[in-house]
Amino acid sequence: MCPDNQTLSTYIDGEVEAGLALRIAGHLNACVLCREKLESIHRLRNTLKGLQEPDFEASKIIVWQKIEQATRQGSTPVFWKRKLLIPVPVVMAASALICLLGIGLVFAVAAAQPGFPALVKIESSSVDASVNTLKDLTKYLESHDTVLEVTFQLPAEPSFSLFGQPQFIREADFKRKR
Amino acid sequence: MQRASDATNFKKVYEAAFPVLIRIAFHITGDMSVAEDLCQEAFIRYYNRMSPLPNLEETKYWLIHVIKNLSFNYENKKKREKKAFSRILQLPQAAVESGETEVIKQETKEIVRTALQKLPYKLRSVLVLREYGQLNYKEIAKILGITEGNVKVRVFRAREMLGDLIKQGENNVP
Repeated sequence: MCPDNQTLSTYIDGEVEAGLALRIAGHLNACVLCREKLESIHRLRNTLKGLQEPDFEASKIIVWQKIEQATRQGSTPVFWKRKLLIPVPVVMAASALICLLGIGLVFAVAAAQPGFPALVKIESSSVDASVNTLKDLTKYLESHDTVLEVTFQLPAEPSFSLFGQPQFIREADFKRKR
Repeated sequence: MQRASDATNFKKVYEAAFPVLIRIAFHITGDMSVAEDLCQEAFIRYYNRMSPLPNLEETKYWLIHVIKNLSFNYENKKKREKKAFSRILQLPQAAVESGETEVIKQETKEIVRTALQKLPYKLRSVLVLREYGQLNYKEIAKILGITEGNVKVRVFRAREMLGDLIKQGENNVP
């Protein structure tokens, strides 16, 4: 049985297994059709190899000169353009460390924020108390079922934090809110 | 260890790899000046490479891989510009012998060259690496990032299609 064209193409490149190569060689001795096919692939390969090529030696010199010029110009790159070779595990460890330091810094800053000295002062005929947080105030009010006068006392030197972005609103809405 | 920026070593690599690289680049792109530019780019990339390659062979494969990618980029650019065949005719002509036989030979070569450039990039690159790069299927597979079986199929299809294109070209000759 004749080998297919693809097998012949692979055979000509010497890329078939030794056993199969032997069988094909034996077959070629007997089969004119396969010999012709093989011959046509040979002709094609020879034609390709016989294609006229330019003078590669001249190119070799020209390209080398260009490379020399380019590498000479770029031999001392400014420091921020220099490439660094850092192993991936080191990069990952450094990234993790930076993240941890960042998170730690955020918590440290939050902890260092001065608390409100006395957010709310509650006065009534029978009660005189101070609470520092709104949560405490809510608790306090829930535990007293009476009418209380509540004074919000801001610290003498308040430190305000900015939340959100300024926004434009219509004058009518602004008046309505007031 | 092949350190790219070492001048002696770089020259050695250049001497060893240039003939293969320029041949591959030329036959893939069909343009000598483009092939020279691609080779220059490939060697500069190698020069700037930080991590060393284990030996000369690996360096050669690496450079062929780069040339293949650069040729592919050029191919895409060429497609966009639609100048696929205008450059093929810019090749330097060798001293022509005399007589009708030489004219026919010359015509045939032009037909083959044109046919090669008409092949789809996937088929052309594999055939060029095989015929002009003198690489075996395993090496081609490694460079192109495909399986050996795929190389086998592509080489076969490239030859089939090239044969057909050459026949068409010969039939069109007045």
